[in-house]
Amino acid sequence: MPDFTRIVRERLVLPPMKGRREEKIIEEVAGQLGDLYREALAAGRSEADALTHALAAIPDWDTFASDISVAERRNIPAIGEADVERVELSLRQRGRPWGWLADAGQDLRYALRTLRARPAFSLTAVLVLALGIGAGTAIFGIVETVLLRPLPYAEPDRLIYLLEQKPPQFAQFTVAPGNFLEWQAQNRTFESMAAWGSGAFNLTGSGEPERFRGMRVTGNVFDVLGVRPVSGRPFREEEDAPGAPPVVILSYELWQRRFAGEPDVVGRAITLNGVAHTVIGIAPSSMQLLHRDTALWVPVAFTADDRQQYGSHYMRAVGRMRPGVTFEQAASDLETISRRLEADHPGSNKGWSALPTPLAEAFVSEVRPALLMLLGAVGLALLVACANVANLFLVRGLGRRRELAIRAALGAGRARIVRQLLAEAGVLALAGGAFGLLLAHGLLRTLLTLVPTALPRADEIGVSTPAVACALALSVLTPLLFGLVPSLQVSKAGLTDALNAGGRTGRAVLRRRTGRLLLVTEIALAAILLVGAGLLARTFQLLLQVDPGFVASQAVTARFALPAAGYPEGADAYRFYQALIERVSHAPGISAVGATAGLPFSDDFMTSLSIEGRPILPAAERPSVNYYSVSPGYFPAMGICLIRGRLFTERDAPGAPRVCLVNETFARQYFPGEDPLGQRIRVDMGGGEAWREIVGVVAGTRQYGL
Amino acid sequence: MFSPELKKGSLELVVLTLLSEQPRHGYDIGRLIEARSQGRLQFRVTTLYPVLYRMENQGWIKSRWVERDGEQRRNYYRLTPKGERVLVEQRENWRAFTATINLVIGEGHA
Repeated sequence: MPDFTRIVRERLVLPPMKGRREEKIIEEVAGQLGDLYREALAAGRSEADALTHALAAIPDWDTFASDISVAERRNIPAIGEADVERVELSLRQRGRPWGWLADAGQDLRYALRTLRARPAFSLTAVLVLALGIGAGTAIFGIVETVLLRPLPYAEPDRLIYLLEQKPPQFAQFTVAPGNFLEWQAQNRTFESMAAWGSGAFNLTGSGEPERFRGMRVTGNVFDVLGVRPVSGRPFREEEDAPGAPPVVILSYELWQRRFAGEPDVVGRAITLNGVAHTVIGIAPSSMQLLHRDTALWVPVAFTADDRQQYGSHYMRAVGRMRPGVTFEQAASDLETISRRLEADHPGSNKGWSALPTPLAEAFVSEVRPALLMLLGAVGLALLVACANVANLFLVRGLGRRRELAIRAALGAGRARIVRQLLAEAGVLALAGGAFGLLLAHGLLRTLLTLVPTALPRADEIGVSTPAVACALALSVLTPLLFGLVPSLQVSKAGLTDALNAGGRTGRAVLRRRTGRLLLVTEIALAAILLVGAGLLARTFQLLLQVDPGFVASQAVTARFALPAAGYPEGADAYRFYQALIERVSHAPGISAVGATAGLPFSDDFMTSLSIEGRPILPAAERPSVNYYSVSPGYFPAMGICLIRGRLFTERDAPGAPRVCLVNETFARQYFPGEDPLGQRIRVDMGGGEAWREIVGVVAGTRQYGL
Repeated sequence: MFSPELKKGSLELVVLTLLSEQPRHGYDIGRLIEARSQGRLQFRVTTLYPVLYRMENQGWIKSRWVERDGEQRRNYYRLTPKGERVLVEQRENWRAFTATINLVIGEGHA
């Protein structure tokens, strides 16, 4: 026998009544349903059929409840009595700080019962809200971590990221060590400055050999950032000098992964690029912000030669402004020094100047517009969700107008009724918020696997305290958005209209007007989202149609570097690469193998160019071009087409005449109307390079992205 | 069969009449109406109970929970002295009303 008392209690939502009157009614109606159920069973129906038969006796619980309410008017406390009761209650509870909770508690209980009585409505509303709040919270979590949270360095506002620029060719470029050292020595606005350049390190000696990316840093980089190693110590000044005993600081991640977090790693020697280095400390993960995937730091130890390098750009720098100095003052200070350097070293520094950016800004400038757009999009989606739920609420509220009108007639003020409806909205929104948080958690995990590298501080992103606060704030704000308008609308209707056999005329007008407004809002918001998504899709489609000049599908790349200690001569390295290519090309499933010093989209080596038979310009005025050293197999492996002439062959080995290939763009730009084949050019890589004959022209490739 | 308005207008009289014979519970009242009208008069639970509650609140009927062995608790309604007076009044009203309507529509004159 089904529990009819429970069924009736859940569905028959009656206003609060005196004494045990409500319980009596529930029991009696439940008993009646029980009689109908037994009657159906006795007639030979199945249990399920009998239940359906019994429940069919009450097709509309809301109308039934309001009819009973009318009959029970004298048992429902009118406003006067309710006030007396409330005053009595507050007198009894005088001195207790939460007397007001009694009222709120009553609202809440009533709201819960009302919502339980309509599970389909409640569930739909909660799910829609959970989607909106969940998406909003997830994206807010990302925005908060990436854009709003202060950098994990001491007084991060005083940190300035330093690059160089040479407009119009190079909007931003890495720093030459000579320039950095001059900034460091001549500036008057910075407390300290540090620089670093990236390098490859092979770890051998214990366990599997492994290749890492590491940073060659000036010894003071930890002090400038205000970062303490989690174990050990930072570099000492004397360790950042040529010939000093090699030392290394490991990343927290490498320490955990490779050395299982053993504390005695500090002080131990490890072999990097064939040279023993003493581990002096473990850096916290905040150090990896400067460059992701940095496994270790070693002192850069500038040589006398490095100190004179003004045209060779390969470092990045950070400066800590003196207290009280503004960004503009620091920028103008650096500009003055840049002009001085330009005068002192016109060959290398003509047109170059320092490019300072606040450090926090430098990290996020690329992702900020995308993140803010995403935040706007989920904001709109949340509004659509609110409009949806508001519509549901309105329709549901109109169905309950008789009940509400009766409550109003019995003395409940409009404010009380609106409060009651808002309590229901609040309960829905809180449930939506709770599910939304779970959803946000899952969503973030998925999102972060989709954007593993592009996003700074991605590892810190999660459902953090601010994200929870955001979900909570949304849960409190959304009911005002979706609950207030319908509540005011529904509670406004007159008593006669509502009691009038369903008050259909007024209901229809009201539903039409507010419903139409909500519909228009929804369509407008959805249209904005759709147009935005459509534009993105169109851009993506266009990007897919762009020919990068090479075939990326089926191509696999691996990076490695040969330690100078193991391969002192160029010929040693050449033999290694030959053997490597030979062996890989015989591996199953491999159709072509090539080696290159850099890949499109990820590496760029710029060098200056001279053309035989034309005036040799001063170094600073020579045109800059991309330059790669590649093996003969590179072009077939990358699917780059030969247009004219020939590709490299095995005969272009060390000792053979120097040759080179150029691409179509180069041929058009430097040999317009001429045949580039047979012409000779010289690139200034490392200085003293020989003339090379152009033996072929290949198709152009996109170098910096689509 | 009959219009809802007509049925509603007569429900009080019907219930009072049935209760004047003996105390009865809601389900019993519904079943008796159906049986005596040979199925031509049926009242839904949703119509019957609000009327019972209204009459009880007006003091025409009074209810009492009765427990019998092996049966669920039932709420029995009985007529109060006030209800008896109302019944007499309503019965006379009804007769006068139907007679008047019959005069108007020409029934019972042939």
